[in-house]
Formats: sequence, structure tokens, C-alpha cells
Amino acid sequence: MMSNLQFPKTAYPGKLICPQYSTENKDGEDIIFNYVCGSGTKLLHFEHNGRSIEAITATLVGTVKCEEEKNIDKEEEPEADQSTEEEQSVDASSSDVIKRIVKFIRVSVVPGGDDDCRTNKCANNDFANNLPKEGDIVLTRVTRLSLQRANVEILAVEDKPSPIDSGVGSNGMGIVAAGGGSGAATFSVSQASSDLGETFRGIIRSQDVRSTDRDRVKVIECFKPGDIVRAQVLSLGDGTNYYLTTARNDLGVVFARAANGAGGLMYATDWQMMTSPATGVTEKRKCAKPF
Amino acid sequence: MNVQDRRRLLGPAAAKPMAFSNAIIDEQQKKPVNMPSKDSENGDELSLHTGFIENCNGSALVEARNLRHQTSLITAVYGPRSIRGSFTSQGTISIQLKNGLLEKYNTNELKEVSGFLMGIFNSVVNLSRYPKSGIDIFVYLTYDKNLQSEAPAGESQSKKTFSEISYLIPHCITSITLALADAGIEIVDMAGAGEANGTVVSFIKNGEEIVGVWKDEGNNEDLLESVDDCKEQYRRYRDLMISCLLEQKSLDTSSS
Repeated sequence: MMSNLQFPKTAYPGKLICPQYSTENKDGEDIIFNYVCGSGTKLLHFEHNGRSIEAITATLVGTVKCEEEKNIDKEEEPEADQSTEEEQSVDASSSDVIKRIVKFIRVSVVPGGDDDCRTNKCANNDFANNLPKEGDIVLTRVTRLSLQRANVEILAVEDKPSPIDSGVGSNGMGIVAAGGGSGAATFSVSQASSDLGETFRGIIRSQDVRSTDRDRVKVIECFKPGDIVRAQVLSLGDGTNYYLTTARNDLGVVFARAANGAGGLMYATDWQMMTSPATGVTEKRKCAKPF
Repeated sequence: MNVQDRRRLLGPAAAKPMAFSNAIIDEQQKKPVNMPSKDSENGDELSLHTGFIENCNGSALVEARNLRHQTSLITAVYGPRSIRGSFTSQGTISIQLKNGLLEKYNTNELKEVSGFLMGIFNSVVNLSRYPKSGIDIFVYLTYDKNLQSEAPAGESQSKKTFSEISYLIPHCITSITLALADAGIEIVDMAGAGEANGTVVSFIKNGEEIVGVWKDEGNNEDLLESVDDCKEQYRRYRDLMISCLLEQKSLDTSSS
């Protein structure tokens, strides 16, 4: 039993889905449902009959999905009212011993029909809401190395298919409005386009390559241009770059070619060595743990 | 090989002439969702299509016709794409209007309108979801004709051409909203607008909130009345947009 509310099945931008809270009394227990905005929704303010109401509203066309949040952030708890701890029993004076349960339910709108969701096909294919954010795992390609850092371009956000085209149009030849389009706010057009389209870029600083012995990292022994690197987003960074890290066992180079891209694909033999099965040659990399 | 004619480079004996199948064209013709609707009172006809341009992330075609005016415009949405330079915590929107085949409006006029539209969509798009990115919107006027202009020749021509662009603005808003929804870009509500007496008022939240007002020459007396007229038109357009989007979505599910 998720909630006592009847959710709309499909939604379109501006469709009200549910209020922020709803309550239910069941077997002497008060259940408070706290609805949290997921993707494709926004908490908006409405005026209705002179009363102001906060309600969760859809911002995309798609199917409404709601799931119970198990691991809600701890810092959210104290700021809500007194009954926020899960299953906190407020044994008041005598008769009205009420057990209050707060359930957090994440409401999101997923593009695609109902059938897709039931067959679990509903990977959010739509690129627009898959921009990398803090904590996301991304797949990147190394474009440039220096002593202090490796520059990469972000190819995909893991588990969330990301911009097939980075928003430049599927043939990678997106048009730019006269005067630079939306980019004109911050940069001149001439410095924008690269051969690969305007992908999001990132930086892996040498301190962020691994978690041990981090001041002795040699970037050139960890990455080579063209390597595909699995990394985690540390922060949105500055205007140009996301800041990424590979300081975890499962992060690092996942695909690399030998001899600066001239040789064949190599396989990780340990965390800092890759071997080409054809020639037996080994090269140094900061490898991701394959399994 | 042909023994008679050795001067030409001929293909292998089994070669067939190259032919392109027309399968792709068929698919494209099937894709648009046609939603013609007719308002009996003033002969308003509106036709909406979405998602017919492959190269961009979202697109919409709006064709409108009433007794006075006929227009058709295409909108394409690109983005969110990365923007470089200083850090922006919110997405940035740019809207460009372009004359189609007919050079009807001058550039300044179109720039003014696109500035107005940018103001509307800055408050409609959920920009906080798109840090460090830009969304580029292109509106292309394919066809625009004043059906009445030939008949009353006595009226001053300059006044007419000036206020004509206000007929266009509600359709621009409709098509941009549709294209954004088609691109899967988060918008707070289906924005729409109506036009009355050279006044364009754009609404969200079922007409409870106004997101933009455009005033051209025309009757300045009863602004409130114009707002009510606009609201009525907005509600009609909004219902059409929603049914168009939902119909397209159900089509998409049936095909996959």
C-alpha cells in the first residue's frame, strides 16, 4: 500500500499530481505521506479559494511513477515537524495514543507509456534530464594531459543514457544562432566548436586520480589520450569543466588501446597495469576494477 | 562483360541499378499527429504536429487559420548543450525568430518579439535543472498572410503591418511550448496566449498567472476585456496542445 491518494496515470506539464502531504488513519495509526519531487516534477505554489497550497506538478509528458524512499536524507528529518522520525510513537496523555508513521514517497514523471514501465524498459532515454550532477558516475574520454591534470570530455552518465548528441543535434552539426545562441551569454562563438561537437568537459586533477599516495601521482602513468575513463563527478566545477575523480577501486580506465592508440585493446591485469593480449606488451594506467 | 563496348567501365554482370527505397519517407509521413480543430464562431482552425524533425531534440509545427489571418510556423529546440565560459547555475535560453520565404517583418521587429518570448520562457522552463547548459530555440515562419488586407484598402497600411505581428505571437508561444515538451525539457506548465485588439497576454496555471503582456497599437480602452478574451483563447489552445501531446505519446507506445 503506497498511499491513499489516487495518482493520475499520465501527466503533462502543469498537471497537478498530488499535494505535498497527505494523511491516513489506519488501525489507530496515523500515517503521514510526505511526497518528494523526483525527476520530471516540481513543487509549485498554488492559490486555491484564497488558500495557498504547495503541490507537486508534472513538468514532462509521461507516466507518473511513485516509489517509497527508504533512505531519506538524515538532515531532512529535524526540520520537519515533531513526528518526522520513522515510527516515532507519541504517547500523549492517555486515550489518544497515536502512533505516527511518516512515509516518504518519491513522485516522478517518466517519459514513455505505461507499458514500457511495466516491462522495465523505461530507461529514461531522453537526454535532457540527464545532465551530470554531483555524485554521478560518468564515462569520459581523455582529450589532453598535463602534469597537473587530465582533461576529459563527458560521453555518458551511467545508468542514465545521456545526450546522444550533447544537445547539438544528432549529426553533431547543430546550428548556432546568429550571435552565438544561448552560449553567447558567456563566450564568443569562435572558441566554442570542436570537431566532436560541444560536449561537456571535465578535469581529473592529479590529486583526485587515486586515494593513496596522491601527491606522487604521475598523470602520464595513469591516463593516455583516447582512454575511456569511468569517473565520479566531484562538483559542477567552473564554467568550462566538471571536476571529476577516479579515487575509488571501481573508477579509472576501462578501455584503452596500446601504443597511444596504435595497438590493440588492452585488458587490466592489476590496478595499475594493462596488457595487450596480442603482443603481450604492458602499459601503466589507473585501471577500474573490472568486476 | 560486354565484349562489344570495351571503352566503358561497366560494373559486374550481376550489378543492379541503385535505387533508394521510400521507406523513410513513409515513416516520416506517418509520424506527425494531426489535430485539426475548428471553432465554428470565428472559423478558427489550428493544426499541431510534433517531433517531425530528426536532427533536433524537439520540434513542432503550428498551422493556424481564421477569417482574418493564416499562418504557419516551425519550431526546433536544440539542447541542453554545454556552454563554456563563466559558471552558470541555471540554464540559459535563446530564442531566434526567422522570416521564412517571405521577408515580411523586419529584423528589429522579430528581435523584439524574440526578446518578449525569452521573457516568457525564462519563467516557464525549469531552468534550475540545467546548470551550465543552454537551450536554443529557433522559430521559422514558413507562411504568414493577412487574408483581410486586400479588401479594406482604405485603412492605413502602416498601422496594419505594425499590429500584424501580434497575431503571430500566440502561435509562436504554442509552438515553442509544444517543441519544449517534445524535447523532454522540463516546463512548469503549458504556456499559451491569446490575442485581442493588438494585445497579447500569455498565461500559465489555467489562466491564474500571467507570464507576459504584449501591447501594440489598437484599442487601449478595455484592457480587462482583452485579457478575458485572451484567457479564453489560451484555454482552447492549451487543451489542444495537451490532447496533441497525449495522442502522440500513446502513438509512440503502440509503435514500440
